[in-house]
Formats: sequence, C-alpha cells, structure tokens
Amino acid sequence: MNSLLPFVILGITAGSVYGLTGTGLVLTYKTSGIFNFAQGAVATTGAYVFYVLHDDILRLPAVPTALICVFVLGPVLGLGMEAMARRLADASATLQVAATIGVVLVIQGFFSATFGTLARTFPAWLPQHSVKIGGVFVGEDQMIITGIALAATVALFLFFRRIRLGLAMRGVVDNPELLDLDGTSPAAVRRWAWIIGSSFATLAGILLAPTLNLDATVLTLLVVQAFGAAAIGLFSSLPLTYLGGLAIGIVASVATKYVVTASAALAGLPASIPFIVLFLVLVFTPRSKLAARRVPRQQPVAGYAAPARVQIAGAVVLGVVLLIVPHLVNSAQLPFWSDGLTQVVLFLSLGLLVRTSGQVSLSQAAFAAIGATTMGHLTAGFGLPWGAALVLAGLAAVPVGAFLAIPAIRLPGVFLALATFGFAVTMEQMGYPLWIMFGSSSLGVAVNRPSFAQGDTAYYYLMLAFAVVAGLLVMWLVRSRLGRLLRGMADSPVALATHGTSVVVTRVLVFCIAAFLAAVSGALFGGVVHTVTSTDFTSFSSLTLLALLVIVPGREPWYAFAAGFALVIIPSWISTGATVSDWLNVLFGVAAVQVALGFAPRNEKLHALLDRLGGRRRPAVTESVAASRWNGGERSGPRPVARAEPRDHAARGELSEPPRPRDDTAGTGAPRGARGARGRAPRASTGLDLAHVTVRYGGHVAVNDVSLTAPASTITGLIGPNGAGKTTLFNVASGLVKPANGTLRLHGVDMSGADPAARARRGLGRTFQKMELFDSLTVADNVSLGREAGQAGQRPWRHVAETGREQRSRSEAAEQAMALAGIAGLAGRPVAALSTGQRRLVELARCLAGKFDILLLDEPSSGLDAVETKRFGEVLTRVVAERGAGILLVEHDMALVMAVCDYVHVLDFGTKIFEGTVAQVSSSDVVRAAYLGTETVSEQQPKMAR
Amino acid sequence: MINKARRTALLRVSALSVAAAALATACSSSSSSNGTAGGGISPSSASSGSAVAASGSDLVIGTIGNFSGPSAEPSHLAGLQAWVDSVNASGGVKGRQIKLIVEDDQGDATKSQAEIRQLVQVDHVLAVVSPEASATESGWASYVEQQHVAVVGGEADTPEWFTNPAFFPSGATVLTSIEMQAYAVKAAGKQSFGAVYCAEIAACKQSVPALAGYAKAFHLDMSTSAAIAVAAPSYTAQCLAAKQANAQAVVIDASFAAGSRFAPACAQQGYTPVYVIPSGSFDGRYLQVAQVTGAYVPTTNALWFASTPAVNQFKKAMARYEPSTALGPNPMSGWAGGALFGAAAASLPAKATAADVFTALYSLPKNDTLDGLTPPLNFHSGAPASQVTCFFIGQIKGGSLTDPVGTAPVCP
Repeated sequence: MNSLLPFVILGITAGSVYGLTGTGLVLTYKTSGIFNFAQGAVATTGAYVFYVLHDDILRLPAVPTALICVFVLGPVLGLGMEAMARRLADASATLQVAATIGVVLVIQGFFSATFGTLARTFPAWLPQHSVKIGGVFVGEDQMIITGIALAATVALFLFFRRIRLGLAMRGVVDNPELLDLDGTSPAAVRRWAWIIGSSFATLAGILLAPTLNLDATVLTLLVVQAFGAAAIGLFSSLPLTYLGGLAIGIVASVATKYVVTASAALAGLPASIPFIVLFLVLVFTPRSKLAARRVPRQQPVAGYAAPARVQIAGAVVLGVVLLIVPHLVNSAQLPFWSDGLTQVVLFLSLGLLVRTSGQVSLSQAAFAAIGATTMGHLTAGFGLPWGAALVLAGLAAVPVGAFLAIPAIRLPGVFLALATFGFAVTMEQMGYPLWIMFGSSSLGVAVNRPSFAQGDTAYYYLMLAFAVVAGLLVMWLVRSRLGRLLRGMADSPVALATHGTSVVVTRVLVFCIAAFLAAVSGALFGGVVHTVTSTDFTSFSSLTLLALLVIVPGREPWYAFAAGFALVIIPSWISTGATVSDWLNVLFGVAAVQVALGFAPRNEKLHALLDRLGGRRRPAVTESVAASRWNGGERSGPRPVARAEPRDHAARGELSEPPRPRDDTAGTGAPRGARGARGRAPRASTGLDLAHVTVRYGGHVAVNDVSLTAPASTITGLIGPNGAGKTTLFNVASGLVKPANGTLRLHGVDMSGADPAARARRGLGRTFQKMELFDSLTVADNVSLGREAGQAGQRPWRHVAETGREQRSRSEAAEQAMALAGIAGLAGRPVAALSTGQRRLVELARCLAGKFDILLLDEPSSGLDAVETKRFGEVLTRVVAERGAGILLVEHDMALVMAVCDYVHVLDFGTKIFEGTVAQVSSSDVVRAAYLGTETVSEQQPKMAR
Repeated sequence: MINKARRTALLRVSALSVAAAALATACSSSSSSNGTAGGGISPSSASSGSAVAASGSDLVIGTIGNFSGPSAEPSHLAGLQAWVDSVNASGGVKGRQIKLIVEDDQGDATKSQAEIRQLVQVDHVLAVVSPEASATESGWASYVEQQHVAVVGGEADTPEWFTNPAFFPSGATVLTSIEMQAYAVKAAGKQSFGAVYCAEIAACKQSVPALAGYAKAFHLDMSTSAAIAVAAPSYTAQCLAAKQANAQAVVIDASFAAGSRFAPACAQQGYTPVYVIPSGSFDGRYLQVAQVTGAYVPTTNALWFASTPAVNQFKKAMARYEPSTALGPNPMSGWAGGALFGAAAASLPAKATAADVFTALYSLPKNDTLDGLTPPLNFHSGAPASQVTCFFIGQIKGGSLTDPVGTAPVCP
C-alpha cells in the first residue's frame, strides 16, 4: 500500500486539472445546453496569448499576464462563445456539435499555421521547489494548481447555491421567459456563465502550458480528457465533476504503476482512462439522469434535391469527367483521385448516420482503420483472394458498429457524439497498437491490390466503380423502407416506436451498415497507399469529417462526392506549403460554424434555376420551407403558429368531406357502434385495461392507483385539470414511462413488460399532446409511415425492404386514413408548413393508417376551430363504427367530450375522482369542484359580479 | 529550431544558389580545378579537365519526407541541402552540378504516393537521396523497386533498407539502431535498465520486444518499460515505477518534447538513472537539460561533433549553408546520404540513368566508410543491402558532447 501512495498523490495533482477544466465545461453546458467541444481550444488560445504577451512580443511579467489572460481574454472568448451558443439554442444536435468542432478546427489550424507544429518551450512561471509528501516529491507549482482548481470549484459551487446570479443560471435553461418576467435577463445570465466557463478554460491553459509546452494539438487533447470528469459529474454536478476528475487522475496514475511491469499490451491504458470512463458512464447511467438539457425545437429538414432530370444529367457529366481523369491529370496526381474516391465511400457511410438518421458519430475513422488493417492482414498476411478479403474486412467492423449502437440507443444527440468520440480515442490509444490492427510491425500494415488492378490507373477505375456502387447503394437505402424509418427516427424516435418499429433494431442496423461501408472505404484506401499506419486514421480526423459533412450541399450521393473532393483533391491542387493543411482546417472550421449558425447562403436562385431546367413546378408555399439546413444551412423557421387564413374550409377545398363508408350497415347502424349498456361501466373483455397504475417521479406522485378501461368499439373520455396526470397515464399505457405499480392488458393479454413497439404491434396507437410528427416529411409520408412502422416491426430484414404487397397495403391504408381525416388535399405538403390544426389531423391520420384498434388520443382537437372540431368528432365516431376500435380520448374541449364519449373518467392530482357517463359527469359536483374550485367560492361569485 | 518560414526562404535561396552555381559552372571554361573540398565527397574530383565535365548535364536527384507536417524532421533535409550546396560550390561531382528536388509529403501517405511518382515519372530523378519518410516509405518501396530507382542513404528506420534491393543505407539499419541502445547501457556499465517510448505512434512500442531481446544477448536486465505521451500532464508516475523497478539506466525512445520533461520529473523524485538517448530521439536542446548529463548517445552515423576531416567538412558546410540548423545526428544522416550518392556519382557515365546508379553503388569498395562518415557499407548486385551492423557512441557531459569510446564505429 505504501508504494501506491505516491501514485495516488500524483494522481490528485493531475486530476485536479481535469477537474478544473471539466467544471468550466459543465457550467456552460448546464446553463446553455450546448456542450462545448472547443473547451480545449479555448485553453489553447489562453496559453498561446500568454506566451505571446509574456515571452514573445511584449515581455510582460508573468502574473499580470496571467491576470490579463484569465480576466480579459477569458471573458472576451466567453462572450464570443455565448453569442454562438445563443444562435445554436434551437439547433439540432448535429449542428451544435458541428459548430463547436468548427471552433476547434479554426483555433487549432490557426495556431499550428502561425506557430508551427514543433512544440515551443513554455516558460515555467510558477515556483518550482519541491516538497516531499507521502514518499513523493510534489512541486509547488503542482500544489498551486491543485489549490486553484479546488478553490475555483468550491467558489463556483457556492455561487450556484447561494448567489442570486448562480440560481438564475440554473433557471435560465429550463424557462428563460419566466426568468425574464422575474426581472433577470436570461441573456445576461448566460453571458456570465460563458464568461466564467471560458475563464476557467483559459486558466487551465496557462497553468498547464509550462508542463506540456506549447503545442496546439496537445493542449486541446488534454482538455478533451476532462470530458471524462464531466461525465462522472453527469454533466450537471460541479462537485462531482471535480471529484470525478480527481478519480480519473488517480486511477490513471495508479494504472501506470501496474502497466510498467505488465505486458506492453496495456501501455495505452493510462492515457485512455478518461475516455473509457466517458464511454462507460454514458452507456451505463440511467437515462433519466442524463436527460438533455434542452430539447431542440428545430428538427432537421431534408436537403434540397434537384429534379431527377437534373440529377441524371449531373451524374452523366460527373461520370464522364471522372472517367477521363487519368488522361487529364499528371500520373503523379492519380493517387489523390483514388484516395478521394475512397473518401466518398467513407462520407456516404457517415452521411447515413448523420444526415439521414440524425445521429452524430465521431468514430468513422476507427471503422476505416479496422477495415484497412483487416484487409491488410487478410491479403498480404494470409493471401486471401482480394474480393473475399474485402467483404470480410467490411464485416469485421460490423460487431464494433453494433457495439457503438448501444450508446446510440440510450443517448440523445450530443451525448452520442461524446460517447463515439470517447470510443474513437480509446480505440486509437489501445486498439491501434494491437497486433490485429497496426501493432504487428513497425512499418504499418501492407495492403495488397487485386491482381486485376495492380497499376495506378486500373486501381483508380476500380475505386471509381466502388464509389459509384456505394453511391447507388446509399441512394437506394435512403429511398427504401430503411431510409424512411431513419428519417422518421431522426425526427421523432418516440413516434416511430409507438407506431410499431423496434427503434433499437433500426439503430443497430444503421450503425452496422455504416460501419461496413466505412471499413470497406478503409480497405480500399489501404490499396491506394499500399501501407497503412495508425496516423492515417487519427481520431481527430473524424472531427474534420463531420465538419465537412455538415458544410457540403446536396443530398446523397452528391454531398459525398463534394466532401471527398474538398478533403483530398482540392488540397492537392494547392502547391505544397507547410501551412496549407492548417489553413484549410481553419476554412472548414469557419464554414462549419457558419452553416451551423444558419449564415450560409440560401441558393434559392440556384434551386429555382435547377427546378426550371428539370421541369419541376413547385407550389409557392413550399418554397419557403424548402430552404433547409443541409442546403446552405438555412434552418426551417420556428414552427408556424396557426396562420390567419380564412376559415372557409370548403372554399379552400383542403379539408374534404370524409367519404361515406362503403359498408352500409355501419352507416345505418347506431352512430357510436355497439357498446355496453349505458349507465354501467363497460367491462374489459377487449380493449385497453389499466389496473392500479401508480407513477412516482422522485417524491412526487404523478398518478396514484388509477384503474380504467377503454373497451373496443367505444370512445372513452379521460378528463381533468392540467397536471392531473392524464398524459402520464398515456405514457404508461404506451410503455414510455415505467410505473411504480400497475398492469396493462391489451385485449386481455398482459403487456406490462412489453416495449412501446411491441404494444403498438399489438394494436395500441396514440397521438401526442406535444405533437410528434416527422417534420421533414410530407403529409403523405407521415401518414404512410404510420402503417410502415408496424410493418417494419422487429425483424432486421423487414426494416430494410418491403414486399409489393406491403407497399400496396401501406399506400391504401394511407389514402384511406387521409380521406377519413379529411386531409387528402394536403397529401404532398410538408408538415412543417401546416397550421396546428392541420398538423393534429395529420397525426390522427397517421394513427389511423396503422393497424391499431386501440387509439390513445391526447388532446387531439387543440388548435382546431369549432368547425374542425365538430368534423373531428364525426371522424372519431366513424372510426369506432367502421373498425370497432376503442378510443381513449384526453380532451379539454368539453363540447367534444360530451358529443362523442360513451364513458368518461375524471382525474385530478393523479387520482381518479369520478367516472361515469357523460350525463353523470356533467352533473357531478365533484367534477365541477375539481375544475372550478370549491362550492363556497362559486357562491360568492355572484356578489362580485355586481 | 529553424522555423518554417525561414526554412522555406532558405530552400528558395539554396535552390537559387544551386542554379546560380550551375550557371556559373556552365559558363566557366574549366572544371573543378580547385575542386576538392575534402576527402569524403569525390576522390576523383581533384582531376581537372575531365572530358565529362564539359557536358554540363546536371545530376538530378530527389528527396522526399516529412519536413513540415506533424512530427516533422526538417533537419535531415538541411544536412542533405548543405551537402548539395557545398558540392556544387566546389564544382560539383566530376564537374556536374547536383540538382535537388525536394518533395514534402508532410507524413501523409497519399501525398507521399503522389510525390514519389512525381520524382520518378515526371522529374526522372537519378536517385532518391536521404529520404526522411519512415512513416510513408513502406507504401512506395515496391514502386521504386519496380521502377528501378535507387533510394540512397539517410534515415534507415524501416526494414525496407535491408530487404528491398533498391534501398542503400548509409547508416546503421533499424535493428542495429535498437541494438545500439542496449549496447550503450552496457557501455555505461549498468546492469538493469528500462525504456520509455512515445505513446502516439505504434512503431515506438514495437522496438520494446527487440530491445528486450538485445538486452538478453548482452546479459542485461530490462526491468521496465512505459509509454510517455506528449499530452500527459506528468511523468512522475512512470519515473516512480522505473525507480521501483531498480532501473539503473533508462532508454528514451520518444520525442524531445516528452523526453525533456521526463528527466526533470525523475530528478524531482530523486531518481537519476543514466539516460540513453539514441540518435533518432536526440535533440540538440538536450545539452541544456541538466538532468540528462552523462547520457549516452548511440548514433547511426558518425559523431557529428568529432574532429575527423570528413566531419569537419560537414561542420563547415553546415555553418556556411545551413547556419540556422543546429548540428546533430539528423543533419549528419542527411549529409551522409548525399555523400554516399556523391561517391557513386563519381563513376556515372555521361548520359546517366537511374539504373546506372545501381551499378555505381555496387562498384564502391568493400566496407567503405566514406572517410569515416558512415559505418562500413557493403552493396552487392542481385541482393538487398545487408544490415549495417555497426554504430557510433557519443555522450553528453556537462552540456557538451564527447566520444567515450572514440570516433571509430563500434561493431559488436
């Protein structure tokens, strides 16, 4: 034990630095909801500015320089970052990550270009004497750093708890408008948070630079290790972050002691510990504790797609150009073109994840590395035939892709980016040196070309063929069922799950496919350069890949060609200068930030021109929404409120009369269909049956022992004041919330343990109080996905392709559902452009399209006017009559409830206070008291009215 | 260290001076009458008025390497450049000026592929001299072999240098460069040692098993090894671990950025082993790091601070043509590569091709050391170069360098 103590003490000094930088990171995340990947870059800036002021130009003394850096530069950088964060407040996770990564690229590129890549000696400015503590000499500078980190964290903790500004910081994310009403400016609060966070980072930079020396990459990398500390603090607790940093430092330090005597295989372990911690924490923490600080209000909108004619013409032109490249360029340039084509495949794989399904992955380079090394070992090592080796190389990455899908399943947006980044760095430090990857020899791994494409030109054509095939494959995938599921998942995984798709399967599938493609691209790249080394697949390069993917315009496969071009070919044209690649990184970073913040050009004229060329006529209203994030970075505007349009629905011809049912008997039968005798609670022979459901959130009981039944062929109402627990009850029924107690039976079968998709496939459909539409799709696609989600179900092969029969039944169901809901005229419109009422109808139609016989409708008429509501009620009764469906309806519109419901349950404060027929409910004193207050108050009312 | 802007400027100036010198020589009536600048370059350049000189055709050579990317090493190039400049200034090789084409691949594999093709197919270089491309040369080694272009001298860090018939090393080859580290421990009189190596590149770790093997061969005990990452905030843990493993010497196989922090960290803990800093990791700034005094510096080429005539020539040329590059093993290695080419070039025919360079190299005398610049070299037709198994040993003492076992090569 005694020999461990020195390592523990050492770990404390290193860990306190992680804690300091992690604390600033958590602070800005807590208050702005933006995770600052560029925290390390801020530290780097601080260190370089200190160097310039202290050593290079002005030669100011150390302590004043430090004060200037921390108290002037830090705040300036913080204000800049806050301005950026403000604009990112509503952006999707992808854009948020891209923006902060862009800052990293800019800062690192700039300092590398200006100061060179050779590390400069940074002068030590803290006292250097040593003191012996517990068997190890600790430098005074280390103790000072530890002390400063501790003091800063404690001060910040108290600030959050005691000082008004600190309390305000906690409130600013959850409800800035409320804060504003209270007299505190949310903008000012955020600015203070970023100022403090950036000052912390700057402080960390100038404290660390003497030990590390001045190197742009190193400083940034060091702060990245603080992510692990932030993870332990669950991105919200400052004391835990600090302690987490200490823990990481200690564990890494102790590991060093054991690693030196153990085999060299674990040599990379100490340096990887922060990232392993990051990954493990993200994967194993209960989801409730890692809830995203803000839910992006803007959903990604699909990029502009030129008309088919234009695309085909473009493809022909591009194809011809690429075919004659070997004759156009100097033979010495050909490797760049071959390389660029392999990168096209890599970008296609990343695009599947990022662009199509909205999942940010920062570990594509690792997959490519797996593919390249496997290919090398199989071809040059084992002598397998090239084609077989290529397939196996691709498959080698698939289990790793599936493994990475685990965090994807659990984690929203930014956390997934973090987890994949942590994984990528760990792979680089511990995986790359393994003998199955790059570790087998110091040369790197030799990768053979196929016997039929040994020469440069032949191999180039082979690469071209692969790029084309990959492009066609991805285009097909995106247009296939899987593509539809992915786009739906990007917009609303909850909606997709509650309509019957096992979203877990979808995610694993897309990660596996992306991993396969990326590995193939790595294997092909290996053939271009003949020997691959670990420096060809750095974790940092994954950041550049993401930035480029966000910048380039167009849809698949065009963005991949553009990105490959920008990454490899354009730099090869610029005559070699040492700083070219650095300045290019700066350029990419600036562009990424621009795109993410929405400043990129809209290209409307270009789109109009292409549309004209392609013979596509676009209705005026859709043009304003067509400009999208991917197309030059325009994001869709805020959700439109109901437009002030004439409510003359008939005149507009949009809302058509639902067609008369073909089945005459249903038409002439009782409007509400068969049901139990009036006046008695209907029995639960079929339908939905919730028994003794209790839901607790922390100490608060949201739903208290509620039992109710929604039988088939009946419309059951569920009413109660706001906050009564109605939506919570729905979420329990759907499987989105786990109750502390209670069971759910669907058609008599106990489904309490089933996930939402399984319940949906059993017949349970729902709509949402906060609408969960697939905003990037049209009305028809939304509705159709309502059926397709159930068709996809659980089995992976059914996620990818559909049979002809399924397609027919899907489109039929969609047509009927839209007709029934009266929105057939809106079929081709993007849902993001519709009014609230129309969107509600789309959600209903989506629910109707699926094979559901129990429908949970959560305030479906809010946003509808009186005419629309009346029509809506008719739709509901028709649905029950025609299909025998059971509906459980949460509503505030009492007229609707009275008109359509057969039976009503009333909730208040989570408890059922009454149930009965409509007549009984409307005459119940209990119910009235719940809505209007106690009777004594109502007696006093007439006096005041006088 | 020389900074990039300056170096680019220097390259331009050097290129200009080469051009100017070529012009001057072409215009001058006689060839190298006072040609010899020393023994190592061209033994027959003293003979003046050779009919060959009047042809005026330059000897075009190329070099390729990581001169400005991450982990760049531009000082090799400086050595080669100095050699080219000094040779051209004294009339060239047999009256023929050397034209050097520099390709900087910045350590990028694709760029390296493109640039080697540029040199071979477009610039038609006679040979690739002193490449500094250990990260990327494996990618084009078979290409140059197929194209029958010789790769001459310089950093022989990969096994290509003794397995590929197109490669002609001018310094100790890679296994020897590891063996010399173990030998240095023995020369220091220590029994047990450890090694710290860079964490960033897989290749650094690969040397550990080989080093352990040589340790056994020399009856030494390699008790510990650890990775030191440039980005790590402290190396004290590794120091303590080595101290606890009783390592009396420590081999530093990492960059100066890491090594220069490692020694003081250990000293702070009262642990002062004898360091072994092989030439591949050496940096002139170590002379200012007080904690490494007494360190042994095994090198793959001649000791660059020795006073032999060949090395004096090197020092003079560096001072004249590359004054901003500090002297060290890297410029020495670059220079030696140039010298090897120069020795072969002396017997090239008038219209030389790349294939003639091979013949010329094979015709060099056995165990040639180029007047003490290199370990004994032997090239045979029809076979790859055999491993170069000799090396040199230097030592840091009190801020300057000495030769504890003399300046002749050591051949265990």
